[in-house]
Amino acid sequence: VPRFYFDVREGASFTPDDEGLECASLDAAERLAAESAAEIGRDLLPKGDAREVTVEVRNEHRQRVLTVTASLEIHRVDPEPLPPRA
Amino acid sequence: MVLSASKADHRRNLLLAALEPEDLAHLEPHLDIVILPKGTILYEPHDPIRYTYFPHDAVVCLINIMEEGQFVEVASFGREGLFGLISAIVSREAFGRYKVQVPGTASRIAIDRIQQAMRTRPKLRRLVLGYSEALLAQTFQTVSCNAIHTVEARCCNWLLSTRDRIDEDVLPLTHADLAEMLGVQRSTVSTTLRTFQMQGLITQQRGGITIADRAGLEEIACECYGKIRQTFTRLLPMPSS
Repeated sequence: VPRFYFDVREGASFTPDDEGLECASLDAAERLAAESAAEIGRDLLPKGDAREVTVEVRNEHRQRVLTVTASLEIHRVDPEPLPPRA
Repeated sequence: MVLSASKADHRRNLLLAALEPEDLAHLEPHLDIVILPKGTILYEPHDPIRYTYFPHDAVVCLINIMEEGQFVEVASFGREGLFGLISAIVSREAFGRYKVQVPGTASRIAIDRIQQAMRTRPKLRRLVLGYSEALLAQTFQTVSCNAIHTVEARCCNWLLSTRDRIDEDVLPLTHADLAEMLGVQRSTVSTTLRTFQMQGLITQQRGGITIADRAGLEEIACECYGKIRQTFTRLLPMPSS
């Protein structure tokens, strides 16, 4: 079973994974990375501490094989002026 | 492994310590002390429950396993409590997997014996009922916490409650352990703990987490940690520490 490493980047902070985790396939690793990006994003993004959370997945040779990014965009919109009442 | 034991050993569990001397004397011939190594599984879902356990320094988690194989901790038991009785009082079947998360020892008694003793000993029954109410309150609080609060806060709760249970600042917990208990990915736990470390709240060693700033962690924990603690203090005799 191949081993994958999941590093996490949010803003200036980088959490490397030295231990790795055995995953049945790259698809399985992608799923775990996506869940993790969503979980970390759920905590951090609404607080405004970071606008983007990226999980970088490396294979057993420590080569990067995929990245997953969860991001939050907020747009404030000026409303159109209301038409005068008839 | 079963060890020979004295009353003093059994009293390391706070419920056994709170028993009237004659009630403890009644149970004592039937109580064994067992060593619980880390990772030991005491019951799998639907296993028949044979023994009720009263942990000393061990912490045991009840883990619910979903159909697709995901799992999450739904209750945990340390020296403040017991397991293998209340949630099996009629069926005598394990609800989920009981796994030793923090190694240590526990006193153990056959479920027949304790159920029999509860019928004839009102003070023992009253104590078990008090614990049942506290455990149910803990469960209600945890359901709300899991639905609403952040992984960061829940992780803090876990570090603090484990510290309370074992009375040590060095917690023998890995990132994988915490991921299992919180129902999240391990890299989510690693990221959260790294933030705590950068804030000077914890230090990390291989296979362990050391609490460096308890008050700081309490600020990040949600209300649930304090509420559960208060419930236990109100319903059960607790040490003054």
